[in-house]
Amino acid sequence: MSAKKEGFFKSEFFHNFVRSPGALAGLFIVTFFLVLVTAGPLFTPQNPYDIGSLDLMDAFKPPVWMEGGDPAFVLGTDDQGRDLLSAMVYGSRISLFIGLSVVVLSCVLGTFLGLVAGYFGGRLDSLLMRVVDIQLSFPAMLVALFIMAAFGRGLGKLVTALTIVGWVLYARTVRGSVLVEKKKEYVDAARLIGLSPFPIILRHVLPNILTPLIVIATIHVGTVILTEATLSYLGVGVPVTRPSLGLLVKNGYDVLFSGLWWSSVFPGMFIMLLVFGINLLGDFLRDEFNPRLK
Amino acid sequence: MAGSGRNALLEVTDLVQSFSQPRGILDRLAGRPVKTVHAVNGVSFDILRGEVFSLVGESGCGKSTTARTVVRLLEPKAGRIVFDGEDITAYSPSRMMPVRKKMQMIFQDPYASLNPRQRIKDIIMEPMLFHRTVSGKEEAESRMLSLLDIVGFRPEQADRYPHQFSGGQRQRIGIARALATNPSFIVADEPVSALDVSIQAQVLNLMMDLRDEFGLSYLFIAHDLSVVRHVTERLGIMYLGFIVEKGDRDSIFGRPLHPYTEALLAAAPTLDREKAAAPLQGDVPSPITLPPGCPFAGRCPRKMEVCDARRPSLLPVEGRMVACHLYGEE
Amino acid sequence: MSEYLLEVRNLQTRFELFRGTVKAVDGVDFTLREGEILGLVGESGGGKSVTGFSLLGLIDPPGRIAAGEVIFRGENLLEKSEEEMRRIRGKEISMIFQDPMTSLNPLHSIGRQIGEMLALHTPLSPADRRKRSIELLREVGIPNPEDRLENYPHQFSGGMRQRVVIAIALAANPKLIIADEPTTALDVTVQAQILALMENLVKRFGSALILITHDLAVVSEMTHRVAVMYCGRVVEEGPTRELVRHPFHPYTKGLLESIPRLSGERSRRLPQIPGMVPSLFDLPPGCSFAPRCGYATDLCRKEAPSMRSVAPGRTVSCHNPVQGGEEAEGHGR
Repeated sequence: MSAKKEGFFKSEFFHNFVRSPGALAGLFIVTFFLVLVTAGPLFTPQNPYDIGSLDLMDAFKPPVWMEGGDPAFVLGTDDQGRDLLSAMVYGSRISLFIGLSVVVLSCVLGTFLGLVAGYFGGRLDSLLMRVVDIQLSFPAMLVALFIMAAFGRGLGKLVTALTIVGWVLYARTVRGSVLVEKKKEYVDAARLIGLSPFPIILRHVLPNILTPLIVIATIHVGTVILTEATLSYLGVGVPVTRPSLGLLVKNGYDVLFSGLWWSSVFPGMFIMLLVFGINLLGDFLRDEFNPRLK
Repeated sequence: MAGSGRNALLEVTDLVQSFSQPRGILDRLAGRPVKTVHAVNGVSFDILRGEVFSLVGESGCGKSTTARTVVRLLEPKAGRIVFDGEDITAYSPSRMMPVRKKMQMIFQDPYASLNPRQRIKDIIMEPMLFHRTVSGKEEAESRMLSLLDIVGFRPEQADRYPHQFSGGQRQRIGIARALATNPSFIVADEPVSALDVSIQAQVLNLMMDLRDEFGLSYLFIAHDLSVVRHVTERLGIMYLGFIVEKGDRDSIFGRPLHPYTEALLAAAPTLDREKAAAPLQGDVPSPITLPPGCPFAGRCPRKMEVCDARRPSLLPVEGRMVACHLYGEE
Repeated sequence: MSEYLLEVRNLQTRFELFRGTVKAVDGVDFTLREGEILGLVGESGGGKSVTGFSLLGLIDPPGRIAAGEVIFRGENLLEKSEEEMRRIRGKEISMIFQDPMTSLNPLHSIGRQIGEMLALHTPLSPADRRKRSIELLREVGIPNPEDRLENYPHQFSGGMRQRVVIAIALAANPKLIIADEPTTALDVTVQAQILALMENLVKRFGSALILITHDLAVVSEMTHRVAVMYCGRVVEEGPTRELVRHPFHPYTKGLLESIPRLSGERSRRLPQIPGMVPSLFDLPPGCSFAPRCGYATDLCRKEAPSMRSVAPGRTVSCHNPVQGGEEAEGHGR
């Protein structure tokens, strides 16, 4: 396809994108969340991290459309009188921040190791792939849980733990792609010029394996957000002072059976919506970039 | 025979190449021995300046492996490679650097030999900029454009990507890349076998024109005998990693001596003949366990007792070299 | 009933793609008698493989057969249901592909794969099927067929695998075999074996064969008649010997001349057809070959020629056929 010549808007990719309801819905949801977490805090009635602005008298207010609702707290409040809507905007921010930073870090680390292992092969490759195999034979959640239990709570620690769990995914995919690419004659041509391994890996191999990486990374964002939510729910994730969506669900869950369903259900729906949107986008990319479906 | 010293650009002597097949954990636990593929088993030839020398044979005969070893994409296991008076057999990557400028390669698959993410101009300028054969970006650009002109492209096509070109066009781009550093020697590994007939003729004509224009020498690797007959001055026929017959074009095509050469010529489909002769039976044996005698003995219609026992060596017969017990010795 | 086993009339197969409609097969006509070997030859993009698949109704979306008739033993195959076609494929018409590794199932023994074909299309009992499988394998030249029935495709060499594929294709004794580049993946000496085998078997079984290939030399050695395709159309058709010696269409002539020879004079430069096969997305107006043709006139650039008879048994689609079927250069003996 002469996409580069005629511009993105005439490309087959764009053509298919605007005709795929799933992709459009995914884009809409993800854009909504991105706008929400960047501009949202400007409009939220409360800064949920500012303990001073909370008033315990406001605790357990139901959503505005229910009896006893307060127009100041559209989706109601939690046990500490925190506005749920504000908490969810700030929580989404944390969830997305964790999702994106873990994906970027594991992608960089995993890609680097996968490139080196795939290109050079030999002992380094065997060693690395055994590590990957072993790690993949434990459930990711268990590994993350173990690391968090050892380190304790904290945003940085959580990102580190999830990166340690996540890089293997990239390393394995990248290594596989490199094994295919390095057999192609353009790599031989680069070696014949006299280029050393690292310039060949960076300039010739890496650009040709980006496509599967984009697909994995997109879907991985959703997975990370879910894992983070689960860890926070289990109480080993983010600190209580800066609740992510997962922690909000947990806080709400403690009082769920007293009839205060909203403080758990709304953050839960948010997680679902966000991950759903990301997965819709990821599925589209996977179908679009899969040469076998072409 | 073209001997050494007679202005040979490349001299290859007793070249050996082999690969050990990777063993799985189970193989190692079971103590199975490493399997070795004997791809090239003592191949010698030389190429004069301005000459085209071809290696011909069926898949698995070791012709491509020989070519890749000669340009040091693979490390030779034994033997000697002398290029332009220098013994490059054991050169380190850094010592190879100045040699790399002078030997380049044209590849078989026009769809895999160009980096899909590089523009045509970058593909062609990369070797010159890397080897600093040009003073800077500007000179590189003008040289790139003149190379593109030589292989038949317009300047505005330089900004495009490989996928915007057809197979034949890509092959011409690959040729321009090979010429970028002004080499004297080009290895062409099945350069036209992936192309349509009418495009084949275009690429072959271009390669021959370039040879006249730049005084290039080619090592031409092919399985198609009619193509080889058209381009080459001398050739070697390979079977199972051995050269079985080697000499100049007219004597080999005029009167093939080795039974394998004969069979190969008889099997090649041609427009000039009603029916092919009775085809050769059987398949090429595995290069893992080489037969103790003549590599071709298993399929040879003129096999004798001695053929299974002793491997014939390459000896001069009727103005060429043949490795066959039917000729020479006694 | 007509005198022909197969009559293809105005066959048109199109692919609706993002960039536009591709007329991969654009009005192809040819006929085939019982026991005849027809070569369908041309370069990539000529439409020869799509023609082969169209005959069997094996065109998947975004492709579709837009028009035409494929009359096989008096019945139009294009009007048959998928169910009826499935009974015809394999039994009446079978197909051999380029890559034997992908046309055989790697997980089933070859005995099972031949047996399956026999079970589908013949009334033989299991014991007879086994006997027949062994016979077929012997027929295609596989040594010790009794022992090899239990083997899997990967245990055979490329040439042997293609023999197995041929055995399967012949199993139900079809009237017509369509072979799509059956020897392109094979080495020359093995190619010669397989071609000789196919020619032999077709004669013995009385099947007709359509040999689809890019290699004019292969075609000239074993076919009775040839149809040359360019950009989805048949540009010239006729008896092989005559067509190879005296081509009428400038494209056929150009193709023949651009093949280097194994004997005779050796010119320094090969005669070449200038330019390249046009993109099927935007074919030139008039004759598709006009931009590359040395004989082209204004008429050629405006109006596409239609097929006409120029000599007994010879048809050509050209406004200015090569005079009197000029001898192809470099081909005199």
